[in-house]
Amino acid sequence: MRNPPAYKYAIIVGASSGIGAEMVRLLAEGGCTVAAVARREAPLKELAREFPNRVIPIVHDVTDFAKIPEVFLRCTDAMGGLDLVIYNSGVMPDVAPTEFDFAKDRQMIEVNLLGAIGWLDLAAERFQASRRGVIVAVGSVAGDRGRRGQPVYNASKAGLSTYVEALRNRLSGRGVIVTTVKPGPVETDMTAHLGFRGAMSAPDAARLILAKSARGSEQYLKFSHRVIFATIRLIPSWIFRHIPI
Amino acid sequence: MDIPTHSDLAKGNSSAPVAIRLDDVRRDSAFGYAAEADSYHHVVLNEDDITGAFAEAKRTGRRVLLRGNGRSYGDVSLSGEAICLDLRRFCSIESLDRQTGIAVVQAGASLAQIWQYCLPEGWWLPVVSGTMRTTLAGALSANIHGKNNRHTGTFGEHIEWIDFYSPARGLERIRPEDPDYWSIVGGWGQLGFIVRAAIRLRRVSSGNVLVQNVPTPTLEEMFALFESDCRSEYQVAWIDPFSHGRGVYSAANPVMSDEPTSLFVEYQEPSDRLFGRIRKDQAWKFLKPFTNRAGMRLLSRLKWEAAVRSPGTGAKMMPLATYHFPLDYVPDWQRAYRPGALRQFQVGIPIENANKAFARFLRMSQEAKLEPYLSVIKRHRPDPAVLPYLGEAYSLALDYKRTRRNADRLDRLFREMTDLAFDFGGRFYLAKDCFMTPADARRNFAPAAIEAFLAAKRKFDPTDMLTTDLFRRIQLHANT
Repeated sequence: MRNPPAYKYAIIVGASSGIGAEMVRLLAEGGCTVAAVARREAPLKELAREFPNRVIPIVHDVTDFAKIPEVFLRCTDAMGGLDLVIYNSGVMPDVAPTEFDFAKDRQMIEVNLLGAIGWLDLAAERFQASRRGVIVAVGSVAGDRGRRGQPVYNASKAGLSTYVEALRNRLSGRGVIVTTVKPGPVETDMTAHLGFRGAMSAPDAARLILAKSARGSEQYLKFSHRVIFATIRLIPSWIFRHIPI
Repeated sequence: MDIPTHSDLAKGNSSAPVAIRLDDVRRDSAFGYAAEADSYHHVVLNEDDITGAFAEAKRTGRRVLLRGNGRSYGDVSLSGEAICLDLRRFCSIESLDRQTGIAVVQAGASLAQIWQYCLPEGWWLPVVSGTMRTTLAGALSANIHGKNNRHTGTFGEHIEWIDFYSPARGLERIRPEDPDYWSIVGGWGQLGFIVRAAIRLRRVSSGNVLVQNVPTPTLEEMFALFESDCRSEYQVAWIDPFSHGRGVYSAANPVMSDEPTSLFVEYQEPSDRLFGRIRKDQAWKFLKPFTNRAGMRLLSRLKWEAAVRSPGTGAKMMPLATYHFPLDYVPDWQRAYRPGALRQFQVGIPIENANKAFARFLRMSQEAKLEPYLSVIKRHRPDPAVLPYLGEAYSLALDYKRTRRNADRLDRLFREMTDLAFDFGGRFYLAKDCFMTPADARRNFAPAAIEAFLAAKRKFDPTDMLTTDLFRRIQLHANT
């Protein structure tokens, strides 16, 4: 696997656990200064204790949209620059097969999509002015099709994927790299209730995401995922609706 | 760095308050790409813009960066996330007294603008850097020296007064006899903003200098020439970095006879093409294939052979601008170092140790197979600044190409040469530095000098509003 590019200043939104926390560790170990943004303070403080001069803990709820510009500036000020922004926040509440709960749906759209737009719009505006920078959105293979199990989670990740593709197109030719990463099953707190078998570990996923961060375009973490999900996308809807995934 | 466009200027309407906007973020590089940083750019058109920016910085707790044409080789004029005051449009020559040669010039005026305005009137700058793109504020902040440093001293020694704005004291006029003058001049922009200055120009009747080049097979012969030829006003030498010390000593003196037509700008800069064919702004592309060991070895050899094969031809007449600004022959020549970076090792060594030290630096570079691509020697006299560069000394400037492959080896070489330089009593010039550690800085400046500088810093900029990346790196700031 190729080493990740040598970033000096990074913001990771959704950094308190799972893939986000592992990305913070990897970047900090590589000498990068990281603004670790998340809602929960305790795990952020733990990361900051692990890397005292490298990790800056920033407590922020991504659904507090009005605060995002201020928090964004606080991150860049504290670090002294910005090369990389990774939006990794996401929620996937347990949704029963017959359940339609607007509160849960709204939370998914707000965290998975609107929060991403709030943060990545700012990153895009800044990077298009300075004519360089890397934007990464951690999407999901779940956004590739509308599955019966998680309608709004799928929609939020599909929306994220389309939004980030549009950013990529808008910023092309301006020296800004925009990458969508679509991890498959990963062992994290968020997916613990799903009982994935053979899922990738969070440190492995984090390493792969950083390695692919500067490639631009849409990235799956494994070649097999690319093949499988390309195939899944080709399945006609009238067949797909009968598949229990 | 591009000059601000009309739309930038429209945005930077001088009466508008300065605000932090993401679309003002620009990434600035050191000249030669050794360092870079993002900051919020604002074009300065008048003094209100300056006070507005400082007020906004105070309100938001941000730093302020004063930036001209970005000719420093390191991070002395970079400050990540600061409000960057782009001075290049604050560049009027407000007056020139044709009798006394006193020119009042705004901060962002470049040496090019000044000489192009003043030379036709029979006045020339007393001290210039190797590039005419240096701004007035940059020249004073770095207290630049030229090839005539031994005779004429530094730029700051030819000033009547400066208008100076500091975060703590606002605008005031400072004269060389004021005790703070030499903290501000040569203070690297860390204390405040030199808004304008009155420069004492020197009278010239000709726009030419007489240049005598002498090939010197050894460093000993070169130093002997420097010392014996103490009447020449301008002295500089080039060393073949692939040799054991052979080079070309060059001495020059202004032509004293009346040659009014040579004072015209058109005479000084006759062509925008090299060899009558290559557009100057494209010439760096022809240099690029040679920016490697083999190419530079060849060019150095050719330069030496050319000097040896044309000895004794007597002095050559050259226009002042052509002689003084060799770095501008090929605009953007630093781009030839891409995708790597240009790293300069510029050190001054006391006269008694210079020969031995310079020979060691050359040998160390050659043993590491990291020869510099250019090496230049100058003679210096003591620098009056509070943070001085040199005493009676020789300076050696070595240009290296840093690439991803040689980065670690080059850093090791710089470390070894830095330690050796300090052992020989050496001092480093901050305009070229991107390597010094806090401990190095404390070997570079005497404790009393550091104390005096920090006292001035606490007086003029107690909140470290103007502290740049270099000064944070070497930990010389008000809160030290």
